[in-house]
Amino acid sequence: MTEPSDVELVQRFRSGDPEAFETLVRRHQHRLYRLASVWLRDPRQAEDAVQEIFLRAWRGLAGFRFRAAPFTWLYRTARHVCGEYNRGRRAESLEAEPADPADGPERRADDDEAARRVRQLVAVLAPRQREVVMLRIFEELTVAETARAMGCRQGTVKALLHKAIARLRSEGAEGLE
Amino acid sequence: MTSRRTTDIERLKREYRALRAPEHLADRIRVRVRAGAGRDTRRSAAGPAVAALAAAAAALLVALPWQGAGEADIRPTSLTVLSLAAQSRAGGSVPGLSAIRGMTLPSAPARPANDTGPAAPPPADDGLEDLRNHSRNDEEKDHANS
Repeated sequence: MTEPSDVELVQRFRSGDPEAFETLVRRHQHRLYRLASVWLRDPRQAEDAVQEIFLRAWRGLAGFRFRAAPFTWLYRTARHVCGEYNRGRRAESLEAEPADPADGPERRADDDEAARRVRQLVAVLAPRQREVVMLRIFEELTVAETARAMGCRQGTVKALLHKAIARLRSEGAEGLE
Repeated sequence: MTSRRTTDIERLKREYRALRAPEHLADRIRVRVRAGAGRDTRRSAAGPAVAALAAAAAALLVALPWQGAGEADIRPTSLTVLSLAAQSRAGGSVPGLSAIRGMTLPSAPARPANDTGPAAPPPADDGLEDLRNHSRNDEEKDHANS
């Protein structure tokens, strides 16, 4: 049996099926968490951000008009939420929640290290180049998906990627095609 | 001499993609959105109370003496009220509509046989005739030139 598409899930959610929303969460939480871990410096804040993204989705998808793919909507919300967090506007308003015992400090440290190294790598790039590298190289989205998520043309994605790779190579990055 | 640090992108990508949201995050989101939905439900539970209140207000409006929009237009002016009050003060009672209908006006004095009445005023010179003539002349000139 094939998995329902994001659009089908949103339609089901809108017609009153909360399970459909939970499937959307399970499908996209890891990707959004990874991106948030790079954009924000703190894994704990990344968790809060992902929760906030889905809370906004719960409220906002009721009025979703399918002019963009659901992931594009989630991605843009993620960008917005992380922007808010980075500006420190919402940092204090979040409720503190007890940490999960299964989520030990070692795992956190490893996660943090990977996200930190990616953040360090892309830090030399311009913001749009950074975004294209995150989506196209690290998240392995297609050029079309990246363009949709970023709200630009596919040609722009290719041009940004070309410049970004050149810059990363000059900084010592290896293994870039 | 400075050694350039190299980064193996493929390896870094593998490490990065191994990053997973914590197990409890999906549950936490579910609890939060359900709590939000509960708030929405509570909000909608207030719906019947609001509807009952609106019905009561509507019933109250119906119970009040009804006045259509048209009636407000034929309300007596203050001048009418004053004249009626003056008439009332003068001793006479205010005549009803049927009494007014029954009143007869005094007949006008008879007019002499050769009186044709006042002469009609000359037509006002509003310049329209000039404009008409001017346009007509222009048309004639255009025809002559063409």
